[in-house]
Amino acid sequence: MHALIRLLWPGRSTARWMLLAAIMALAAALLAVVLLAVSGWLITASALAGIGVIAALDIFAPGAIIRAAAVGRTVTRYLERLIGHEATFRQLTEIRIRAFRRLMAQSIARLEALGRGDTLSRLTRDVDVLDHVFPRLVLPSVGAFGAALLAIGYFLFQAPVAAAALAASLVGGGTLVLGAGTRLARGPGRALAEATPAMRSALAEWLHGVGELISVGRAEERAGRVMARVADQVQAQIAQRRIEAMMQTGIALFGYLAFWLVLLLVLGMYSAGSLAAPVAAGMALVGLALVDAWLPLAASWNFVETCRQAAIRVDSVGQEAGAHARAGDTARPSDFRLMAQQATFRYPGAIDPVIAGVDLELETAEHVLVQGASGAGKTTLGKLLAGILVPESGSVSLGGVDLSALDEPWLREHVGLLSQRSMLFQDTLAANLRLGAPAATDAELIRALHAVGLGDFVEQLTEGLDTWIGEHGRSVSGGEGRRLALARVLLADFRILVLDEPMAGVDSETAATVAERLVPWLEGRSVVVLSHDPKVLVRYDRRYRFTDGSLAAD
Amino acid sequence: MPATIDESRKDDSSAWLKRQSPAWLVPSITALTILEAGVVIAQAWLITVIAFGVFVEALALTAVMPQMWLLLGVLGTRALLGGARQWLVGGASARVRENLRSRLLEQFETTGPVRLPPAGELIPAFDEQVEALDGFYSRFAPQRISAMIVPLGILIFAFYTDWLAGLLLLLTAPLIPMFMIIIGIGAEKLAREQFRSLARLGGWFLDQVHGAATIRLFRAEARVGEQVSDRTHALRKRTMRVLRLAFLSSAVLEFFAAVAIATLAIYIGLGLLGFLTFGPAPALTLQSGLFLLLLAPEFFQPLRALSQGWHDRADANAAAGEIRSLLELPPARPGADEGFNPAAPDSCRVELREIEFAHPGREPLFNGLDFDVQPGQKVVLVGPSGGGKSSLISILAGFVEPSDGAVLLDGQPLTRLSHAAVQAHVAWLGQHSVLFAGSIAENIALGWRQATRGQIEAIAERARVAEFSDRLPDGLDSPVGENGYGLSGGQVQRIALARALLRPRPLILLDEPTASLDPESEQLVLDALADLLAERSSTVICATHRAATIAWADRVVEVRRGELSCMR
Repeated sequence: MHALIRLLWPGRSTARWMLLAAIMALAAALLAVVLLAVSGWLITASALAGIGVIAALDIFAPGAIIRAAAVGRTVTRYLERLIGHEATFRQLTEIRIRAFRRLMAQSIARLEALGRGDTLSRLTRDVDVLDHVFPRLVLPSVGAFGAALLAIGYFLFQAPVAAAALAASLVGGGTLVLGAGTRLARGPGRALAEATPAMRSALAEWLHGVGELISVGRAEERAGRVMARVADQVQAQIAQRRIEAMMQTGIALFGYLAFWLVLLLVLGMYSAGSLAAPVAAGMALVGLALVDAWLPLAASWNFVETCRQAAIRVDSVGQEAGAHARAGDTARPSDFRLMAQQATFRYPGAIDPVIAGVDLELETAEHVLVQGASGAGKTTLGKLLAGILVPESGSVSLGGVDLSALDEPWLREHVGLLSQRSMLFQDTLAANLRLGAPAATDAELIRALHAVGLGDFVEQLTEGLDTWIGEHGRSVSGGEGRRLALARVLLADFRILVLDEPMAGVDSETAATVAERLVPWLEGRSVVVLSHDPKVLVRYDRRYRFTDGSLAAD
Repeated sequence: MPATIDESRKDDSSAWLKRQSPAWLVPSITALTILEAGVVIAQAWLITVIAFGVFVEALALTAVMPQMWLLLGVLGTRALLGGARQWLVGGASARVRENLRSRLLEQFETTGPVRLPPAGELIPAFDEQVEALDGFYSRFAPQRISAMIVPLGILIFAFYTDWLAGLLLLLTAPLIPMFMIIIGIGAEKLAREQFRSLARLGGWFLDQVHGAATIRLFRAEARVGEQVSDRTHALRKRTMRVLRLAFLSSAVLEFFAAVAIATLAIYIGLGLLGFLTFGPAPALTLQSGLFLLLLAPEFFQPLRALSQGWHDRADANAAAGEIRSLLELPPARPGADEGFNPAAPDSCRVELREIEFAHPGREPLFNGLDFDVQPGQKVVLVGPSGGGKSSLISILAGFVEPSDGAVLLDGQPLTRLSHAAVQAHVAWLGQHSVLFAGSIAENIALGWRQATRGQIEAIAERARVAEFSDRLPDGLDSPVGENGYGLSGGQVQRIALARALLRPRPLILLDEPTASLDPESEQLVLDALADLLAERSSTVICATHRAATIAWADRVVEVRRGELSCMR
């Protein structure tokens, strides 16, 4: 519960709207009760006046209350929805920003690892779940509890025993059912939280291997494993639904019992002469109307566990102490000499290291080529040089300071990596290019596009730099995407650039043109090119060959 | 008129959704709802009898105790009926979804790896889209039954008690079908629009989250954080404009309900006081008046619930469309005859006769292609990507069928061969192999159920698997795949090779088995392959981009734009 409350605790601008929405929810629930109760009062009073039991009756005041309650219920319900959505949207912003900040507190290496799996999609789905907490859980609860408590307050004046019955059976019993149900739902909720990702990854594995499985005649058998995960999920869901059904039955039983007890007590008090008939009828109907406000709570509260699980997962995203968290490091290098000394790196669980004792030197403003076949580990070397991965032994240092001792924001400001997973966002061309250079002018963007050989590309676009790229816009080919990413990293003005296969998917003629045009852009910057093909830059100060995890001067 | 097509497909979806539910569901929910309507009316009637008895007839409380106990029983029954309905629909909905997932998996297998959409589409369909059907079965369907039965039952009793009150209910709920149409068209459209903009925001957010590493590399996290805030606020402003109107439609519904109850209460009050002298009003008593008042909210409740359930229906319809399109995927080999099981020879003759083949929506690839491979011959296919190497291998593996022509394995038509027979004839290995969670030995054993431990060890040796598994603590029994040891692409491919070749089969098909490997790993896999093939009499067809490194080839054939030409 702790994580849920912490994540959902409203900020100041949201709190006001939430409070207003809650007041409206309470008013709407209350007016529904008033409408039925006063109507019951009126009918009883009229009937008794009609047969002369009561002498005279002013029908206009209660008539006005009834009409006002009818209109008021509609209006407050409307306002509850409207303000409730306003509050929800404001909270949605807060939840998203908090989730985003938590995510951004991770190390880049971890973010890349997360990007390959299902975690990030699940994070957004979890955030979607949390969006619904306020309208689905908080507002109905406020209405139901608030109306019940106000009714109990009123009953205390009229008939304290009836107040006790209402408090004990409806509120006490109802809360007991909700509490017990929510607790019971924990098991299935937790099972469901595990079953769904397990089902997805089982399916992903099966789909990935479906060709091999069909060819060895094991596809159906292996599909059974996916179905076993589906069955886990179904079982948890059915358990959840049954608990919800039991909660609903429990609330209805306690609620109707409360109504019945109130009816019994007020009739007794009427018989004893201590309560007027119309008031007795009105109070009985209060009990009945409250049950209607309480019944939807079963579904609302059954949702708590789902939210709690979502909150725990969103919360856990921020738990990894990444490189970003080293706020105290303020060491500054004396110059921009990048050096790897006997750097060795092994992925967790791997038998052999990918990088085995690499030595590399990059003087300020030098351009260096590391040539090697694809899949040999160049990408890992690039990440070590950019300070995204930390070697298990040996060191990578900048100006004599170990990269892991450098202040992370400072490092990111000076060392740029064009990674192979560099992502283009579904946004305008300009927005993508400005990611690392928010102040760049349109002319500068065009200049960078020209440098990477995309000048014609942007000229042909009717909307130019404002063209959307990605799924809902202009599609970008692999080679174009690579060069856009290169333009972006050029614009960001890094002192040291690590370029990992910058020309992948680009034909050699274009690559040669780009190499020429890059010369002025790379002047004065240190550049490491990691590529299977040397024709990325026009000239190199030094060349290395990368094989079997180690470097040799070429 | 695209709108009409959209509508008809949607209605179709509703009918399809209904067909998926178990046959017992609608009748039993209907029965429960009829019982519930009866209980609702009985409850109102008992309360009024008791009130009339005590207030008007001045009976002692003890005199109405039998009715009080009966009322308690009725209330209890009502609580249990509601719970029972939830219990039933919750279970049914879960079973429907389980059943659909099982059918989807069967369909995926029948369609085969070539014709299957990418996993990125299939996994969300299997998870989220199927899950989106839940609202239809567990909320919308029972709500619709309630909305049809309960108001009707109450209306009958209301008319019987006081036709004017009945008429009032009928008129203030301006004809139930009209309600449905107003809500259906107005609210559904608006709700869908709001849903769509929320989905767009969700999509944009997902995009940013997926690009988190890139954002960090450009230290743009603070700026993107602001954008998250700006976009959500912009969406809020836009949506609130729409919602102000959308909520009006449900407010109108609520207003009708509230005003109807209020008008009814005042009408009854005035009638009881004797102020109204027309129609049935003078005949009203506390009993009939209270009865009508108690029934009025119950009359509107199911209608309000239904109006809130319409978006469940809209979501389910959209999801149903996608699920159905997956269930209608064509099978890879529609003509397979499971009774046709010719024995597999030691090595297999392969004949392709006048093959016509095109990928959907593209130019024909093969136009009357003929190709013969003698038993035991080892053929290497080379050529540019997209030239047809892979398609040829997929056709021979039975993953996809040519639109015309014949494929004969050992003289038997591939179209007719049973699935078991194809498995007995053909071994297949692709470019990206997968290790399943389990040990190395288990992964190899997948290739042949009857294999002995000795055979597995022998092939592991031959396929150069032992070379790295020996360095793992448990050797061949070390766990790999998810949560297991991380293996390189070349190591994975060697395990996959051992798996594919474990069972001796007369035709071995290799589709670029080393394309995603670095040169050193590639050489190891090719060496392993050469070793394994040396001892086999099987026919081999291997697509590769590095024919030069393959010494065991009897024939090298170039495949370019769907045409074959012999190179060696």
